[in-house]
Amino acid sequence: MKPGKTFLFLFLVALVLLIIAFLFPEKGIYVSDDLKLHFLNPNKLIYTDSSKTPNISNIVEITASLQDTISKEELPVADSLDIKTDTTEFIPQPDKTFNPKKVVRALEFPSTNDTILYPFFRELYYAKSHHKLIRVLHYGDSQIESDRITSYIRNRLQKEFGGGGPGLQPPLPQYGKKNTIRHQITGNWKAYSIYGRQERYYNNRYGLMAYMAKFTQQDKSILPGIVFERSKKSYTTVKKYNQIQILFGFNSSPFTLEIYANDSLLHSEIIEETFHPQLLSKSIPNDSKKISIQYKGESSPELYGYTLDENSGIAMDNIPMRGSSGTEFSKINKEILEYYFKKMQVKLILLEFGGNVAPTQAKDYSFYGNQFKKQLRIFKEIAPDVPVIVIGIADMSIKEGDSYVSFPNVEKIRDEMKKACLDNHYVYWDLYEAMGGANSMPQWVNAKPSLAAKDYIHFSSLGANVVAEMFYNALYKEYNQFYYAKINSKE
Amino acid sequence: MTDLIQNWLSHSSDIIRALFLYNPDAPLFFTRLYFWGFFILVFGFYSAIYKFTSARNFYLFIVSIFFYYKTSGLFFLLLLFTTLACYFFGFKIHKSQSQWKRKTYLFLAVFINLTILAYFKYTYLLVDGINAILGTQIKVVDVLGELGNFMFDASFNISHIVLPAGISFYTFQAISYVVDVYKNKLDPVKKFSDFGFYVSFFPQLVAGPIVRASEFIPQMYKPYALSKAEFGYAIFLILNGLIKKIVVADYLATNFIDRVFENPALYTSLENILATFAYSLQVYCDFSGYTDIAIGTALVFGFKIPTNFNSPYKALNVGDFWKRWHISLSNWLKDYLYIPLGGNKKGVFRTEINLMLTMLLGGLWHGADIKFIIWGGLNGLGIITYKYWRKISPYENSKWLIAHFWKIFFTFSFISFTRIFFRAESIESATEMLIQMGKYTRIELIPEIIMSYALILSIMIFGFIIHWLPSRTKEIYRGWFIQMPLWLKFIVVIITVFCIYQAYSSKMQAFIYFQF
Repeated sequence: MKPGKTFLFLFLVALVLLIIAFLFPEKGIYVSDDLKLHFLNPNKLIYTDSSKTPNISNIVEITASLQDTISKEELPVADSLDIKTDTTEFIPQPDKTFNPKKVVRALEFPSTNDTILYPFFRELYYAKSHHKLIRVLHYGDSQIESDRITSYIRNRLQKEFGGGGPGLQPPLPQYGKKNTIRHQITGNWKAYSIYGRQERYYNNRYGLMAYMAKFTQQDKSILPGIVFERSKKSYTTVKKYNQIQILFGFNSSPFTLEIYANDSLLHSEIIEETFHPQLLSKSIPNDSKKISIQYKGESSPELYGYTLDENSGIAMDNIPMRGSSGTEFSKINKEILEYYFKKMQVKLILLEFGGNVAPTQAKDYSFYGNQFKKQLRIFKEIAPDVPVIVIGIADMSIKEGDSYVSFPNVEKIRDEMKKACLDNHYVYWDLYEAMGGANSMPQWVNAKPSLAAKDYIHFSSLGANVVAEMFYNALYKEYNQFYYAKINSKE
Repeated sequence: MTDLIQNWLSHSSDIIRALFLYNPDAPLFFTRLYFWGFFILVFGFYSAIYKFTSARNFYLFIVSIFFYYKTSGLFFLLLLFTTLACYFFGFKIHKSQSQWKRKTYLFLAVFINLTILAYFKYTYLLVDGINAILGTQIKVVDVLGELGNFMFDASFNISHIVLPAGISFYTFQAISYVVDVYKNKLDPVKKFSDFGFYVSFFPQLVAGPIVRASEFIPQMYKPYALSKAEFGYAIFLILNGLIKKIVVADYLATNFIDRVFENPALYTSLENILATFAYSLQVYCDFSGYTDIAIGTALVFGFKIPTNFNSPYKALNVGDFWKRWHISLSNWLKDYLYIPLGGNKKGVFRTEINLMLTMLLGGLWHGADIKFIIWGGLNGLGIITYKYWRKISPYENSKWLIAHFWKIFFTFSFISFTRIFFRAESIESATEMLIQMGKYTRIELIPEIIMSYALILSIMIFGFIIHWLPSRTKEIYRGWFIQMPLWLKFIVVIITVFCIYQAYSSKMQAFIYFQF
């Protein structure tokens, strides 16, 4: 075959395809709900106008600075604990190098009150010097699984305001491996949760993690228990803890609880029957690389979790609720929540949800706004003095033809969440805008290194750190204002 | 239409930039429309000059260099340097009489090539290794970039070393040339542009196959010839490659595999296992699809490039697999590494060591990370274990169909398993995936998982069925296409491209939670 003929063939193929491209409707041809035909968009044939894509240069800057800090400072010191012991005179001074211009997206307050967070800041300020341990609970959906986002904020807070340890841990290891701390259970257990696909418990007694577990005595030769081991990959602050707390209750018969540190028995206690939530705190040696807890008894108490913390400063808990939209808190037994909120000095709550609402298709999302509002009222009722920061829905994409665009309902959901939050006199942080707003997710996915997963929904671990850094800066800016207001009022 | 032309006119400078300048966000891949426009235009001019051999070779050399510039930017200078060095040493080796001189020139040529490859590909691995062992904090700086900035007042980013596309392929191709000249298998190429054309021929430049000088260079001096059947075969290969790449590989990757490998803990055991098998299909369709397109487009220009894959998942053992997978690399490693190491001529123990070394280095060739070495090592172990197993296996020569299928299934599963280390982001992530496979079974969810992944599973089944069809059956439908009159081929091409575009632009599979 002569090349001229081959060329003609190829040329005609290209020509016919071009003609089809020009004739084909830009929005595609609808065949069924699952099938829409698309063809080349002649507008994008040679060149795509990039001026319409959101600019995420500030995000790229943060990423670069984070990578720099991670390589310089945050390389985990493997298995050593050469951290200076904090002095009792610890008064946190604001970081003078902090530049408020670094704040990509500020926190939003209800118009009448921008000092909602002051009670929390006061606690932060005094926690270490008053030898007090305070807690921040970070609830969220799969976006925060494996301690993502939380771990970074926790590290920043603990470095700045004191404290250590990974915080609250579920009674059973939940979603695969965590870099913060390693868990292993022994014996047979059964778990229940108020969210997702796990079995529900008949009386709705879940703890702070909306999750509960009980051991079942199927095999008497293995004692039920749990082992925590320090992870070499965690931040140095997380490796530093000197107290364990066990959250349990409602045991119909006595049982024996044993705590071991590095395989030697530290504490043994018979727990009498009880019909209330309980909190057992014990000091543990600083060098406990391995902590195990064992249970001996005929029937299991309801176990809600464990904490590993420093006994003063700040503890921050990662509580992922896969598949949840954050609308289940109202279904949890209030007595238990209230008890632990008070007893454990919860001083701030972060609620990061919204992503699981996006796949539902509705014209109006006020149904979600109302459900969310109901949850915020519960928090107001059981912990009236504890501020809540709602971290709203992130940008997430669907594919339209050959490009990725934001879910059509992201902004509607964001608006409902924000309204519910501000109406309840809580604080809102707009993650969607912080990311760059509409259609920013594809840029996060395609950034080098990548900041989000190929599902165009979840952040990568680096992306999660970027989100956490942006949030922390927003929070820190408010803390600075509080700090200088305080100094001025003293003067 | 007028709007469009106006839009183009108002952005004419952007359009010219998009057409002629390098854009790191839009490298010139076979799946891009730009490539096909480029290909047709280049071929159009080629059809005018194809009778003049030297003009033709020179022309293809220049367009290939432009192609590489559009893919990798200023690294085309590096490609030219490698080409020049090997061209020069080829001559030197050929002209030198004394053996030690020939050896020195060969050594220098190989050394320069491997140093360049090592600099761009393995500096990080080396520095990380040194830092890990000595506890130092050495940081990598791109000295070549710095030199460029110093000499040309340029502004290369020197904070990290960027890997030039296809460097592993063209370096190996250039090495094969000097070795073949050294072994007197080949006379050196006289014209620089001819040699440059051999090293940089654009269809196979960035992802192979690695073409041997002795196979390719003689073709450069032959007159153009393409039979009707060859034309049909070339078009068939191109379409086949596009379907493999876009419909199977890319669809499975974005909608399923990437998600699982990015965060294995989000998925149940079955999903992790499915993703592992699906990845085997993806990597095959991706790579062999790319090779099909390379072979097809090269053939349209009248050049025959050797096949690179021979239904690798039909392999009965790991050794057999490596004879069917990335054949041009396996042969290259055999001829230029395994045999020079001594091959199987130095006793059983040395053979094993040579084999293992070849597989480990072959692993390292795929990427600068310990996980690729593990992957290579596991494959080496697979080959060696089989060598012993076949001596005691009662089924080795069995004609029993079940034994035959079992061997295929077992080999395929083993290869897929080793690929966890190849694909996972890190060793930790690979371990996490393995833990997840063993632990989070959730048998009660299996029917629901199968229902929800219906489309993904159908594409997987489609891919595997096509792969496992007997070669004779494949030849039958390929024959149909080749025999078709031109007008019918034309219609088939248009319809196929339209359908491929539907896969390319299809909706994403919704995110599914199963575990809880």
